[in-house]
Amino acid sequence: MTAMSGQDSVAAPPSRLAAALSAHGLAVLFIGPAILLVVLVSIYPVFDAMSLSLYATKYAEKAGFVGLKNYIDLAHNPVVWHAGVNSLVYTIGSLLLVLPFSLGVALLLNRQSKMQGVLRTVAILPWVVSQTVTALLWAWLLNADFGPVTYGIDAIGGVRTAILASPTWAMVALVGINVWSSYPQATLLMLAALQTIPRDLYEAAYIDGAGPITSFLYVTIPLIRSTLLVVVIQLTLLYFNMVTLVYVFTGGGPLASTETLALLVLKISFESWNLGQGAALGLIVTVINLVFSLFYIRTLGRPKG
Amino acid sequence: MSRLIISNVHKNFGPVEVIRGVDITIEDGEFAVLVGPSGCGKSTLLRMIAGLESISSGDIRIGERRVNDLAPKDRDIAMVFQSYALYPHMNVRANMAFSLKLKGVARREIEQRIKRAADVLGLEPLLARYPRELSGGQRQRVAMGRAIVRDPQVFLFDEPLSNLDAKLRVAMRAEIKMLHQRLRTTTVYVTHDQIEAMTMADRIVVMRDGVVEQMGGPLELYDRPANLFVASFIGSPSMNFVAGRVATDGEPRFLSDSGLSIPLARLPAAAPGRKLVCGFRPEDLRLGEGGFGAEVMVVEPTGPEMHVVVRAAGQELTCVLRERRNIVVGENLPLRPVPESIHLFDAETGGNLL
Amino acid sequence: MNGKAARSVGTIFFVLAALGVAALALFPLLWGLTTSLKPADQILAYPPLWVPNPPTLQSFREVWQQSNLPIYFRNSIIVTSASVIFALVLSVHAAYGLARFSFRGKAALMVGLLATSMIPGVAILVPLYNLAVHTGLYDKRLGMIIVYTAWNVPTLVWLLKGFFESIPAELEEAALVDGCSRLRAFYLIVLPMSRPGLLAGSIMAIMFVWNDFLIGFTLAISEQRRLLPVGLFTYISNYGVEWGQLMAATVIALLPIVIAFFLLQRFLVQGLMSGAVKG
Repeated sequence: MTAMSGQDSVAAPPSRLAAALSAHGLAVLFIGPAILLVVLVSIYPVFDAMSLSLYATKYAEKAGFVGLKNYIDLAHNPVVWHAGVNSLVYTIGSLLLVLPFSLGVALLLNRQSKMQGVLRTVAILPWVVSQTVTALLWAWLLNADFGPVTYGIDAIGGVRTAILASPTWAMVALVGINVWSSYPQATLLMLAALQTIPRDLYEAAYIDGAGPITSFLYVTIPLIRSTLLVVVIQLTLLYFNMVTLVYVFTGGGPLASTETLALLVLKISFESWNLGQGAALGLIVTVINLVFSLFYIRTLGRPKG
Repeated sequence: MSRLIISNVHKNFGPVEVIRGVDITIEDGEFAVLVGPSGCGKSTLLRMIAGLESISSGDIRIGERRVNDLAPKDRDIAMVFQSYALYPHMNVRANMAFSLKLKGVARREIEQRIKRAADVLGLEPLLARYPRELSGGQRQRVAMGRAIVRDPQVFLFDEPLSNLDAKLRVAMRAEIKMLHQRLRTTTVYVTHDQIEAMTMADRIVVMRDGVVEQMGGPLELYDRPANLFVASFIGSPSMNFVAGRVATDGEPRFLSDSGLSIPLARLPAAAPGRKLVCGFRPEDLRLGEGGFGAEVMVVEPTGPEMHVVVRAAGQELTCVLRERRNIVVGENLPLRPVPESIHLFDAETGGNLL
Repeated sequence: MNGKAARSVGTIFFVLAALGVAALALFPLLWGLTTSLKPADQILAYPPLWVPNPPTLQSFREVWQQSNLPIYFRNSIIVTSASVIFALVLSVHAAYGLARFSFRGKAALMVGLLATSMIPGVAILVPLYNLAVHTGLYDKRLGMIIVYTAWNVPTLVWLLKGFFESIPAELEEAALVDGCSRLRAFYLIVLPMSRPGLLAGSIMAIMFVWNDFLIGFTLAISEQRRLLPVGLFTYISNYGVEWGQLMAATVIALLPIVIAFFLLQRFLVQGLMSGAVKG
């Protein structure tokens, strides 16, 4: 406070000006640094990426303006289109599995029981586990020679498979571990929505003759619809941009079968060291995100009900 | 001396002027109540006294000091908020000690002052509790405790009883009044409840639309309302009003537009020919001949008295009867306002002509 | 079916489903844990051995004493605590400013902040790498701390702003009357009252930084500056995999975050409700 009261002692009605100045000064002092940092680390890089994407690069240095060449190269590269398809499969596949599963878990957790607290803690535990660790754990679980999952398939089905060596099964496994890793946050959001539904409504439905399935369809689902929408949009963004899980689990293989667009950004940039093209693809990914995000803000901004 | 002087105070929120030139002097030790309908500016005025709102123009003085430009903490005031505003993360003792600690009062002194305040308010057993563990009435009392430990020049109360249930409100009303009689600190109390104003105030300030309509003792306002607004605002059930003119021939009488004839005690000089409003309080509308007949619509016995809603010449009037008498709905009663208690207001300006 | 029978069928179904979910959530973690506790000869066994016999800390000793894991661990601790503290300090003030002061363009600023949190991290890795190289912050803990701080700010500001707005203005006014300056009222009344929000924000930010792989991967190269997730990853790529040691390292990496989670989990839901962090 003392730091700010210095700037006011001149003007005619000193005190009111002082109040205005110091309130204003305080606001700037409070908000400024955070905004400055965000601009520097999150916004400036976007513009830098725009510029960089128009250049050929040699390591961290620009090596000549090439216009839209990076974009044109990307558009003509079948690897990029293949990755796009993979992203789509990965995102949609994960969504299709995670939504019913997380809703089921949310319903379980919403049920009154003595185990509720413990069950909740256990059920959302995978959320705490990083994508790196998730990938490593599951790589070991699915290990072709010693993994318990491999053993389970062997014991039940009589086949000993190297899951991560098959292009199809690798994607299936990737989607599966993604569901394991991401269902808790969907569950928590849904649980929060479920808990806002008043008990009265279920009792009223019960008196009206609704069984558990009817009241689920006609009471529960309509009342958590807006939350479900938020979950879908959040997870879509999460899955579409996911790099770490894929990179550590399969590295995009085998045979680029799990190589997504987001992963490709990383690989072009830091494995092929083509920073210009990496920046260009990164921007394309950003634009796709932006379209999703606008949709997201729209839905969030719309009143419920 | 901690007289509170408000002179020609204005307040603008953007283009809207919410306080439009207010002059009030509250004497040392006086209990003043600001009352008025919501939006009349009473809370804004209180917050300006506290320093929570700036003053657009005019002066506020506490004691000898002009406080316009002082921060709230430097005005030597204490305030009790509508929501009590107890700090939820501090227990009762810490809530009460907070301002003293900030002022740098010695620990021993703080302890003594808290003890004294706790004695006065019966807070001793609650000192270690947190606000969430207290009932509404207890919170209210802690909020008062927090105010009185400071021993300020002026107490400010912002609708402090509005969150309590009816019974508790009556009890706390008496308690605040007793506290004031004991401490004799200059007090400004804001409420929208005219009963609270009547029962507690040494002086009532009735406000409307950012201006003071009337100031005075409770009975002064009740008996001699300066205008139609004050007359209708003060008193419950509220005053009956009938529009009309005075008769210019013979006995002084008021003739309503609807055709009622009401005898008057005297005729104000300015009355003849003007459009007027005749007002009389429900308890001044008595059973008796010489007035008018009225049909009983509703009967509400309260115990000590009976509230009767009647219809006379198409107009509803309320009447409070002290005598016990069997009254049935539909019955025709002869009624007559006490001539000495009738008010005549100018229909245009609203001013009281008597 | 009568009501009682239906209810007991329901209960059985509930218990089975609950056990199923618990098993699914726990099994991978338990498998990692048992692996880390097995003697070397029991790790590579088929069919797999479920319980280490006898359990041994051999793998933990090896990975802690013979690899650079302690360095990674220390780096992660430093980078996480520094960036979470910086992010909290910045966000607390910004959120309060946005909650309590009104000025033109405030709504736009809030939406802008939200929008930046939606820029996918991977898309700006290249410019961040460039920026770090050109400012001399490449392969420095400070560089990573700055980026993590910035990436946590938007979410924290949104979360905390909501908290501050839920605190009645009357409390601050009471503090002003009681003798506080505006600044003091903020530190002595508003901040302590926002503890649940601060904790929710902290655990979200801690989880994000501790678990993130990308920034550590792109902004640091040397062993001395490597963060845990990157360290774990290099185990499988650099040497032939020693699963016992890798799982021991994994357990070590999980330990702090699981402890933080148990301590602060009840605040997490609120945090999540306020929107996802950059992924």
